[in-house]
Amino acid sequence: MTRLEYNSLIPSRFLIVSSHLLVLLTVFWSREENIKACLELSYSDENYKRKDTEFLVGVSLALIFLLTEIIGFFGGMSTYCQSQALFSIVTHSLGTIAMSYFIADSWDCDLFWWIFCFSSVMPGITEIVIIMQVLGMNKYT
Amino acid sequence: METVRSAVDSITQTVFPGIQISGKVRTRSYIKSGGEVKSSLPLQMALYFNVYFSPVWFLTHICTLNVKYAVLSQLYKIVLVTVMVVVVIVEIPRLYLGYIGNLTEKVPELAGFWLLTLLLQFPLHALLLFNENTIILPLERAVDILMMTFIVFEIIAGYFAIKVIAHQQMTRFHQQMQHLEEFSLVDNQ
Repeated sequence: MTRLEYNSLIPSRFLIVSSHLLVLLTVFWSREENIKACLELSYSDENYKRKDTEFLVGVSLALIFLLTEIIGFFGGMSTYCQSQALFSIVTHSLGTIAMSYFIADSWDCDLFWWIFCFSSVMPGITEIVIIMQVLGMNKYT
Repeated sequence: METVRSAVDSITQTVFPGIQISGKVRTRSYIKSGGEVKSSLPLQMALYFNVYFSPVWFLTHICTLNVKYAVLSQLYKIVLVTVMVVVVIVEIPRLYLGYIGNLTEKVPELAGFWLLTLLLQFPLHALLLFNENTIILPLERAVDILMMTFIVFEIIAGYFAIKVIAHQQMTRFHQQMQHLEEFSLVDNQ
């Protein structure tokens, strides 16, 4: 791939990362049904609050990983790295689809941790590796 | 009269950044205003991604408006439809003016883009984001937060872009005037 060709990975990566961000923010504000789905039928208030806090922690961690990926992408560190772009597109699109089903079908809130592991942690960790490479060792691509 | 003049001077300086009417130009910026490209990279990036994000924003709002139209009050039915139409009509020339102004370093287009963003898009999106009477759905909240981030960033980056480009063009003009005076082509009493 020569440099003069139009790089369509950049807008696609931006749109898919932002769609994952939108779905995470949506579930942040409409999480009641999901938390009720993972408690037993006669739940108490402390049980609800405990599960609520767990879920909030999960969503906040996912948002923090997404934020590091946005910082790396807009700060120019991994903007032109094609393998990271491809990996991020695949994982975030799978994550968006899974989270959309999560909201629409009122999945169990414990299933969120699986989605979190595969579609937020993995691209976040590779992004952190790239950021450390760029800032520490001055190695672009 | 001197204080009135300096007050008008400072107000003009604030409203139209980059213009210096009383001619206080620093000497070393004569050297810097050569062939350096002064387009703003942050502004260009924000505009580029805004162009890709705007259709997403618009489709989301059309869908959510369709979902909640029946339960809105009469006033907000009219208000929201008007806001949608105005935002679409303003967004397309706004982004076009921003591109042209930033890439070809033209101050009038950039100033038009900046004023459209600050005076039209910013209040309309603030209305959509903060007014609870329009029954804000969670997806709308998410999409509006992202759009508002773009607009605020464009306002800040656009202000500095206009300032830098206008200052460069003004020092270039002063340089040209100085060169013409040296060759006595301009009569300077």
